[in-house]
Amino acid sequence: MLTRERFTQIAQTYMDTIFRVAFSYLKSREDADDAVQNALLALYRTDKDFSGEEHVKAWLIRVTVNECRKILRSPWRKRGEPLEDYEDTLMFQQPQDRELYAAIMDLDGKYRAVIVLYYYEGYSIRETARLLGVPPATVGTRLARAREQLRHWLTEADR
Amino acid sequence: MMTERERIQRALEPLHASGNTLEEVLDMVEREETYGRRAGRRAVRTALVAAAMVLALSVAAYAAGEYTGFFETVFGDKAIAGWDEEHKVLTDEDGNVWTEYDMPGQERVPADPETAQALVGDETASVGQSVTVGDVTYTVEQFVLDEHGMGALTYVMDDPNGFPGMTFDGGFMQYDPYTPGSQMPPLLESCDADGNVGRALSCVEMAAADGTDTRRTVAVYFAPLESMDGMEQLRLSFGVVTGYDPDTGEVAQKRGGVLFPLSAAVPATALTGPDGWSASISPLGLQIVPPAENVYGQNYYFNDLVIHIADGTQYVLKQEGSNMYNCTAGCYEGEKSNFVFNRIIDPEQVVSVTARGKGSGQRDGQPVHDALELTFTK
Repeated sequence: MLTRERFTQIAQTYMDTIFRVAFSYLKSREDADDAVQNALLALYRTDKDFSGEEHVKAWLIRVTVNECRKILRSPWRKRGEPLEDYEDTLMFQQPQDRELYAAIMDLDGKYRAVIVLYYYEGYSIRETARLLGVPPATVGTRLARAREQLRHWLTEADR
Repeated sequence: MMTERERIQRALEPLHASGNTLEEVLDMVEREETYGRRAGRRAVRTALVAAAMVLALSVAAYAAGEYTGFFETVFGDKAIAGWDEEHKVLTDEDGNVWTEYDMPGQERVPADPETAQALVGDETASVGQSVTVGDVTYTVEQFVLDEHGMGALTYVMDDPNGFPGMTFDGGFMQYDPYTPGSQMPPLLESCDADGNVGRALSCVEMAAADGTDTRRTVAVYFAPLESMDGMEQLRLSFGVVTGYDPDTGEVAQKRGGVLFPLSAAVPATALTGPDGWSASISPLGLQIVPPAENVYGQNYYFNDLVIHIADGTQYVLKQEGSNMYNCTAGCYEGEKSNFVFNRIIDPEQVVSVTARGKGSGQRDGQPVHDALELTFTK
């Protein structure tokens, strides 16, 4: 089991990473926060012997994905805050960043998670597949379809 | 020029976990260290002692080879009962008071078997099919569903290994995908006559309180996530973990399932709401349908949903302000909202349904955030 100090350090390092993953699945701040909390609690409780930082991070993402799937199946999903209200609080550098964000959030959930892991976290297709528990070919297909749907915003940003 | 990756990173950069997340986690860790991990749930187990007595009837009946006790199992005592007035305040065996437990309160009204029989008995069908996955044998017993595809079923699982990695606290089934032999959540789909099409249903499973180390009866409450038009069968599939690689995070599992024909559906009664909203209610569930010109899509929700009965009583289906949630499964099916009851309702006795919530969308090109207050009547 991790010491309190080491647990806090890991939590601070990866909290935002797993929040992005959770939010991409759930599109709800409250639900994403719940998933993050559950994943961090699982980390605290595990007696797993992690081989390094990347191992911890991958493990946390994997657990978060499972937590998200669990929440999606639950009848107790919190739907307290309309997504728009939360999005109004987000600070984007440029207006087109907000538009691209909105376009990503309009994607199907299975595409959003791939976008976050591949583009934001920089995982390879094979690594993304392992984290999501799907075949690499599926990730490749989802990535291509997501990219196709985002093409307008990705090219607009250059103009 | 920015790369695709840089653009997407900038678009997602503003997403951060809430500021108090770590503080709350550390607070939970502190409590676990002080009181132990599951102390907060002991009160739930105590509350289920009475439930066990009734549920024993259904298990005994199964052992005799008859599928009786279905209504007691599904609508009798499965859900958590006995919450105190504050709903979130629990006292454990050592006298420690917990105020953080966030499970919504449930008011259980056990079904009167005679009434249940009268309202849905004709449509309740026996299945009696078994499948063995890994070492676990699953037997689907009975099910009932309404014309919208909402309903419940029961199955029994026999695991000579004693359900490794699983817990059943308060009836809630917790799975551990990292423990070989642990089960994975069941998957329920509607299928065409050939079993070729799989359309998902949202399902919530609750284990009976009186299970043994190797046998558990499970009630599954379900509602469709996709249209069931043209579907003729249900497929319930199960998974058992066969391996987990901690280095890659990959979970390997065996899967198997049973396919059975849909039974006659329990009819629903139509209700009319304002501004083109409509609803329909059956003994098993409630469906709310937005107007044809729906500006919200799925981006609407109800946090206060009450069914008013002719005798003056109310069935509070959902009241988030008081942390009440008296429905077992809830989901969107397209733009419709489905709610599966935790009790049997007689639609003849329903006077009205009130629904309060919010909706967000676009109207005339402008963003709207509307408060919704709807009353549905016959």
